[in-house]
Amino acid sequence: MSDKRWVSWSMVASAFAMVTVFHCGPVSTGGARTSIQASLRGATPTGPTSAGWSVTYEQALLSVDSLRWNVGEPVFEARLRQRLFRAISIGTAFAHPGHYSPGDALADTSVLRVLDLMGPTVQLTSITAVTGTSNSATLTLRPADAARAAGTTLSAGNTVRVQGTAAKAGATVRFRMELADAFDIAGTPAHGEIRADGTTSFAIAVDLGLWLDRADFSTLAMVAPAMDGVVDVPADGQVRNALFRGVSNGSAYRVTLLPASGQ
Amino acid sequence: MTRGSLTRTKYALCAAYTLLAPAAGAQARAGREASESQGATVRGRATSGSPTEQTIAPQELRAVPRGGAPDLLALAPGFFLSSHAGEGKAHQFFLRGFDAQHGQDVEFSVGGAPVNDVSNAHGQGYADLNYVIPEVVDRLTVIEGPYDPHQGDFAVAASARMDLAVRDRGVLVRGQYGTYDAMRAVAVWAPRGASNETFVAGELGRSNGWGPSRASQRAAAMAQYQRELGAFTVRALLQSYAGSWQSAGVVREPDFLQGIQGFFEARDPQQGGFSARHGAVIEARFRHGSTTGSIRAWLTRREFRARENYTGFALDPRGDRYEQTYSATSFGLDAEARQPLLSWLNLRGGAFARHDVTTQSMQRERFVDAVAYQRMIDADVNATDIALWAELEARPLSWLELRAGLRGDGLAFQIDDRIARSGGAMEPRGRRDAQGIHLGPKASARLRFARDWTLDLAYGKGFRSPQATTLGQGENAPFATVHSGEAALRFNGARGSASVSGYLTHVDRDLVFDPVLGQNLTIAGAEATTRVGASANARLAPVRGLVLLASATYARASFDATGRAVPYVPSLVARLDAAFDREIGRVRGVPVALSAGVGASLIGYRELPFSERSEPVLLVDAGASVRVSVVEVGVKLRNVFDARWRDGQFNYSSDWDAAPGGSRVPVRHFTAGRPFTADFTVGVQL
Repeated sequence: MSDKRWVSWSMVASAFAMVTVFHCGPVSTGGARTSIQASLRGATPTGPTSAGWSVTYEQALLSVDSLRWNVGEPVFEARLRQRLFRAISIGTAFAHPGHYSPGDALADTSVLRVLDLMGPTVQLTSITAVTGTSNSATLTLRPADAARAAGTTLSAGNTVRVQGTAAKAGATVRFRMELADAFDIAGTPAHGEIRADGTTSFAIAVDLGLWLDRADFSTLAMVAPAMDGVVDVPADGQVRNALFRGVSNGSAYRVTLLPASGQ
Repeated sequence: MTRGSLTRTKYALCAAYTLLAPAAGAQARAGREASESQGATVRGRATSGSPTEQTIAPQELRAVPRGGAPDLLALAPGFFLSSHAGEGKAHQFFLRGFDAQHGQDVEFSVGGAPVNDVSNAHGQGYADLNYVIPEVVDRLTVIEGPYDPHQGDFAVAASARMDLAVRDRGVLVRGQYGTYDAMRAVAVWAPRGASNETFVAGELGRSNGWGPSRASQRAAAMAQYQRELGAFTVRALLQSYAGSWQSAGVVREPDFLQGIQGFFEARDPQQGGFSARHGAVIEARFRHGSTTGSIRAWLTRREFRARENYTGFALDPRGDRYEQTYSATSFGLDAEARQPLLSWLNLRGGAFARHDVTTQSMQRERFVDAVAYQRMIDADVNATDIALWAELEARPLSWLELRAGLRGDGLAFQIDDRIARSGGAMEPRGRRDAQGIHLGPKASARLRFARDWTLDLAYGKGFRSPQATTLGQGENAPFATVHSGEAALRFNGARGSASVSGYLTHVDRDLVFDPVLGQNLTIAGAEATTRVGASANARLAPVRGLVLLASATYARASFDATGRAVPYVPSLVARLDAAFDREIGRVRGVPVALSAGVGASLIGYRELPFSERSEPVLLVDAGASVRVSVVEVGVKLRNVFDARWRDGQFNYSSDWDAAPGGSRVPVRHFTAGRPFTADFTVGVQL
């Protein structure tokens, strides 16, 4: 074959090779940026507390800084899986027991609002997210400044305000109290696949029954009510401590993936 | 540049190559014969004859501005270098669909000494080439793929070797001053009458950097002596280098878009590093009858320290900046020989041994006062690599060359791990040792047809050693194994050469950079990756004094398990270098020479996590100088069009506000690319 023909062949081969490879369909790294929606509401108690008190809320206000969805598994589930894994395998390094490891963040939003848990469901839309499997959530609760607290009954500098009536065996106590503490509710179960189509939606319910589940309102019997007949819970009392533990309790926050519309 | 314009550029490159190849062919034979008649001699180690070996003479393209010796690698097809963490830190290398990080997938050697650091805490195979003085790099040899049995650890994507020599004998003194108060002084003494491989060179440099927290300094010296001693040619090389740099780190894209952070601004001004390298090489090349060979011994001392912060305060409210240190004393032997067995059959073989005594650490430090609060790595690693290899070279027919070889590497590690990562916590793990053996067969065939054309087919199995601190007691050292195959059509003439090739590469245990941990990690469940690519390159010397070098490499890299793209790897890397260097006349009997060069790099989009892509980048450098008698004055312009380009690009979570409430959803981060710079040079060649 002559040189000229080889040159022609090389031209064709070169062009073919280049164009073929250049035309191959693109592959991506997978995943996508997207957004999710979330709704947040208070779930009022459906029965008496573990201390036997029936609590009826009149006000439940919560100052929320941010919400975040993470890849990391909730503490309890991670522990259980570790035990199962260790039972059937050799000792491989795993997450240190007892510590929640949030892992990568898949979605988060700055709420920066005082939410009325006795009011209508609060809708949070267009929360920045990336696709992936969410396993846990973190709620950051911070004291409201004056601007955030304006227009609500929550006093500036406080995070939580509750007011209601507790009744047990004929005894009735009207109470109210506020907490000025900061809370990081980390590792709450929040399982669900965040899809790329932007329709993923979670419902967050704050179980107000658990907030005061350990409160013994009988300890308020000796406290004189205010002019309006409501007892202002003492700062060092058992009821306030119970509320602190209740608000800190990750089980009081249930994050549920809502079914995709049309399914 | 828009995606549409990139597509047009791709087709323009296709068309250009299609036109270039035959044009080069038309001028082939006569020039090659002319070249051979000039008696060009092979310096340094003999060529391997590997089908993918390419030899480049950087000095013939010295008119094209470059930052330093590492930038010479861009002359090899498909190489793209990123300098994302300051001038002084090792470059990040991209090649043939690999994000080779700081050298994990490219085996480097300079003057006969290996460059890659074994088990460097900052990255396996970290290769700092900044110690090389570019004026003494005579030849750059790149073997793409793992097809030659001499290639050892880290030769996953390629091997690159720099041979040192000075052809312009005499004394060269050159000064350089430019934008951002950048200064450089270099002196080279190449005694006349001595061989080209004999020289002494020194370099001093400093710069304020092109933005806050980018200052750098460097000092380097290299001295090499070579002479004939009977049947032996003996060469000795000494080198010493120290460099330090500041790094501006990453820019959070949303912060940049909102005006919170400037394009060149640093959020953590305490980033930077230090690197030192001191080494010696002694080599004897011999010819005994028809047997040729060489034996070489080398000794290297390394010091390295880097402080970087990719995530701000996302991991700890005290700050996420980490400090990594690495020091090593390395020494080794490398011997090889080639002996004819029959008129058509040669045996080539060799032995290699290397031992590294290293200490490394990694710790997080507080943002404000740099006090360490968490130690993540504190380990001594002693590593040994012993290899034997052999290859048969057969030419049974005038148009057919066959090669078949085998390399066996035995690697042993002794680790004193004072702190080791265990899930989310740190637990002491104590001393461990591990060992492993890797066998790598290689084979290739070259079919010659027509007069200047060859068709090459090659297969090779290579490896990368594991990061030693990840090994368990008694573990069979899990090498990253690479299988690669290639087919190439080549034209090699006198005034030009060209080739087009396609390749397929599979890595069973790949590493991907994790900005959060500042280390390269395997991705659980998706360790294996495959790359498919094509490369075309051409070299033309159409008229005396003018050299054109063009290349384009396209690659797709994907995870086997998911089919998803490997992040951070550029799809297309194209490069054009054009240099003119010639005497243009005489003024009153004094010769006047003009030198001018242009270099253009096109870096295609890079796949990023979350199905995103970076923007393609086109960078153009230009330079010119006039030489009158012994004096030369010139100017070097980098990034001529002052493109605002993003060098490193990442997608991950960070928090730079040190306050609760900030978003932790992964966002785009980038490191600012080099802006327009101008440097003026004055040199005297006596």
